[in-house]
Amino acid sequence: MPDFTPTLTRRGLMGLGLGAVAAWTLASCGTDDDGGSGSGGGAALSAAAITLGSTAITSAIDPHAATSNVGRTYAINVFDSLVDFDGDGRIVASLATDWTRVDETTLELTLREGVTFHSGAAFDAQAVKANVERILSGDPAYSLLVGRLGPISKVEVVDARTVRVITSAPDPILLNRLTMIDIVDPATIGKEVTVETISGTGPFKVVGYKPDQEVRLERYADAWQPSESIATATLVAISDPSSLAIAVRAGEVDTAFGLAPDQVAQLQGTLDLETPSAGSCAICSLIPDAEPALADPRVRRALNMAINHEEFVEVGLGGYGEVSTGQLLQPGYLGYDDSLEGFPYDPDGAKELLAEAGVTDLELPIVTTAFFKAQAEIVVGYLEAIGVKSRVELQDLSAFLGTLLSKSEFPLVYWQTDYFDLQDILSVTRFGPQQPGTQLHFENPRYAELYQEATVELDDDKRAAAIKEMAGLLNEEAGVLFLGWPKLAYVHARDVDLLLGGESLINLQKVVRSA
Amino acid sequence: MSDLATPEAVGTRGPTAAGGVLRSALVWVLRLLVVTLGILTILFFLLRLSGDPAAVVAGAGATDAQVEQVRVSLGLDQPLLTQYAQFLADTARLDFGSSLLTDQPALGMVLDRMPATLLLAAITIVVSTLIGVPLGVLAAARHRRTTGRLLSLLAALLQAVPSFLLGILLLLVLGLHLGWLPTYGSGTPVHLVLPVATLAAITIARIVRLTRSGVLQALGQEFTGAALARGATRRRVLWNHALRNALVPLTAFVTIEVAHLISGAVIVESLFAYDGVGRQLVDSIFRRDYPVVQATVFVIAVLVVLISAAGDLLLHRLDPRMRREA
Amino acid sequence: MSRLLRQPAVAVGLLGLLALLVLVSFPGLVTDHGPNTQTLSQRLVPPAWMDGGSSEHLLGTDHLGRDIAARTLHGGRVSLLVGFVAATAASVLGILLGLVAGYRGGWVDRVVTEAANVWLAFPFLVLAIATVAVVGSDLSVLVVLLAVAAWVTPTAITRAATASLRGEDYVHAAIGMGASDTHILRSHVLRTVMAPNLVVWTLTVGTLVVIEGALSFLGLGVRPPTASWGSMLNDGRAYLETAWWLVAFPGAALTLTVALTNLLGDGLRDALDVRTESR
Repeated sequence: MPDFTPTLTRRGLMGLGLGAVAAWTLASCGTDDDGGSGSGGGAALSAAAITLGSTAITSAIDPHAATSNVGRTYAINVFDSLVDFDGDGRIVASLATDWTRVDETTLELTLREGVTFHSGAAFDAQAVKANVERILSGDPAYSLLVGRLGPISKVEVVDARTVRVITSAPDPILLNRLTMIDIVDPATIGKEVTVETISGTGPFKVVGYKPDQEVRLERYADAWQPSESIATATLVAISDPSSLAIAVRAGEVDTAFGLAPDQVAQLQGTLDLETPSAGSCAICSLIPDAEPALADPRVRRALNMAINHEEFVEVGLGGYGEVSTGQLLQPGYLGYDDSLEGFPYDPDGAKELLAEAGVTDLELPIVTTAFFKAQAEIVVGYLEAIGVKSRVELQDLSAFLGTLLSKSEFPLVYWQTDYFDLQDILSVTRFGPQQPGTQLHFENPRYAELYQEATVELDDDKRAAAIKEMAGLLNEEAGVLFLGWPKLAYVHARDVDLLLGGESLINLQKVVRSA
Repeated sequence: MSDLATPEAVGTRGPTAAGGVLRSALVWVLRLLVVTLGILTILFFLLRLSGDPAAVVAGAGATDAQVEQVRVSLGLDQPLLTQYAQFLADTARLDFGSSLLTDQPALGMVLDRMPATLLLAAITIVVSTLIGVPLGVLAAARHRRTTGRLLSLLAALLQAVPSFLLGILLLLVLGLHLGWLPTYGSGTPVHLVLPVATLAAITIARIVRLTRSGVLQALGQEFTGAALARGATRRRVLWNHALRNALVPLTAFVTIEVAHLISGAVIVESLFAYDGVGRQLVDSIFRRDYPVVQATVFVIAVLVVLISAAGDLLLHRLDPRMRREA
Repeated sequence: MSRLLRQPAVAVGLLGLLALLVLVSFPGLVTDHGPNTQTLSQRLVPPAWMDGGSSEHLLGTDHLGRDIAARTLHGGRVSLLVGFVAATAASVLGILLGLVAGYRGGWVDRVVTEAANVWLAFPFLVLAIATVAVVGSDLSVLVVLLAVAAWVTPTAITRAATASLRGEDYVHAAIGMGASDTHILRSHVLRTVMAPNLVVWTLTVGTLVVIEGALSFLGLGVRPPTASWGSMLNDGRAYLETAWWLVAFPGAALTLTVALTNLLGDGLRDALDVRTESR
């Protein structure tokens, strides 16, 4: 099953100092030429260095064993996948140049020629097969990734340049899932993964690694997509966001990722900023199991009306976000419904609705992780303004995952439903069908049915219709407390031209550092 | 109450006779075993009752079935007592297993980072003592004058500044605006300046106050008065007699403080992205990465017992009254 | 008691703390804003006397538009409760254990010493995180946690001092004259160990208020939006350069409290020393 990990892990982990996305500091800035667009020849390459700072870095240099999305910045620069997302969320060629569906459960891909791993070994169909087999081997180290691969069951080698990916059921988002598989050199599989042995096909190779501290990368000149401007990069973790903000101001790191929204706002005058969409929706789950009054749609609607959505985005997200139109998906995703509308800010109306529902003395504590403390506090303020008592319960990551995934004792759960990694609503599993015994976040059988339909429906139009119907249900029933669509914020030095890739990550080979 | 002359009367005190050395070493080994066993047992149950690493390992997107599979493969589905017995058996062989998340050997992860932490703790203690003790004696000697009162007040105020605030202030001033020091990282002497300064500020404040109090108390006692009457100079009385009296609580305090510095420098390590065990420990608890937490706590326990042994030995040397007992 | 109050330091310290206690107990005397009432349109308003300040908010507002004066006073309840109750509990526990262990020696001393050793070697944060995970970060949980965090220092200091007093001639003499243990402890030992313990107590009050803030730093402090000085300082440090008042006022309150307890502790120590000298 896919998941909603992206935002949760990315942000949540960072808040706990566990996450790791990269930030980059410039160690040195000598550039031979102006990093224009030369092509792969070694002589034309410049020698710029960059340091990327973030609140956390990858948890492992083996991309399959990474325990959260915070490692993606590292992974996309050292490894390639068969296909990629472009900036608009469309699937584009990467290690595979062409693909066709053979039947409902088989996809045939033609592989790129002349690609070599950092070790010098050639990339071929066997490498793809070995990678997928490794991930599906049942080793718990890869379980996070397995969760994203859904029905993928095996890979067949047709010839050295052709593979077939077989799924156990029709999978409309198979290509999206393939973007998650970083291809590692099969020679390293089964051996201990170290800085010396780890090898991919990406534009950078690993030359140094200190767990939880830094990864050092160096340009791989023979890459099929070599980096032109950046020759060396250091990904460092500075877990305290205030310290990270100071490091980027001092110029000791060139980019900073993982700052709180209001810290970003304070830096805006002196540094440049990229704010791509986070592909996520900030919400509070409303759990009737923990507070029966939440089973009444009028109560849920009242809570949505208590929130001043513009103000929440302005303050809670620091202005880096947009007001949700009462649905999880943002425009541009399959199944976005432009006829839906968000909830009006109407505290008096909210009080009336609560009175109409016969609810008095409502108490709705909000559970979340430390990283979302300020946002949850803001929601508390809105709830108290309509006479609902509330407070914030902070849990550490391990406890919060249990709360979110199986059972919450608290009626409101603040989290962000990420769908950027698969670029599809299927990433948001929590409202879909659940195992028996799991607490439901949205008690609506029809929604779960539609989710199931969207999981196997290969026709885009029919899928879009199902997803729109899901969105309509969630909106009409006020199934969750909608809070906004957050954006990511990369703060960076002015001499760095930061081009972000399809997953809103830093593609180092596209970064240009001027002399 | 009649066993005054036995070492027990003053706790596990060191021996004086040569034959006692062996006995004393034995006592310390026994003590080490008791302490580490006690700690690891508390830790084992505390960790397992407070959360489950399987969800973290499986990832937020995993289904219940996947989480259960991870739980089985990690052996977490076994009865708690079975796990405990296994844990004791492994620990006896110093086998702490591998991190549940990174698969690295847990003990190795801890030992890799320990030198950086010990360096930070050692420098902090040495710097704090070198600055704190003389200031404390000065504050006592001048305790009725402005210097003394000012020093005492300053020390009180300094220990009221939380390190998460002081660290950011130092970073802003020395790292950013003056640009004298790097804002993050570890490995070179300059990287130590800000973390040490942040940690030492509070330690110095405490040492000043304890020294002052100990010295003042001694100055009020008969033996110092007697020494003065015998014609000893005031300076000699201050440094020889009075300070020696202050050293008893001070040594006890420094022992405790070292223990705190080894496990508790997490905030400073986070602020300065310093490569120590404190942060690794807290991250591991948040993830319920049992092997790493257990290995870290074990290593810290051994160190603390050794340090407190050294502290007691020192106390024993320093305090003539205790020596007389033995 | 009246003699104690004649010490100016004691008088000032006590009166100051009392005044603080009154202010914190009756915040309505200063402001009628609620501590958690947020007005997001009025965020980061500077104190009344500055440009852009408003008489509505004497000490300005924080990043969520809450009144700093109200939060500082209400936060003081939490911080003072945590600081004083936990520090006092730790000191009482520590003195009792230290006296018994140091005076009686033998197995009692061994047990206390080993317990202290186990405790010392056990990282407090592990306990704090695990406890909060199991029972949540309730105020009473925090007080117990912090009291438990602080018992070793008074115990160790008391024990060491008691053990060394045990060897003093006058204690031997008293035992020889048939004085009871409790009498010796009360009249000879307790008085001597009180002085360092008072200092430790005043140190501990400030330290615990600060540690509560450190727990907030790790997401383990009081439940937001409940204010405490420590959590206000932690929230405010991101705004050190743009909105200093977020940190300045809770910081000043914390500093004042620590200065007053310090004054009180020093004064008490001096007063007790006078008695020692006149003996």
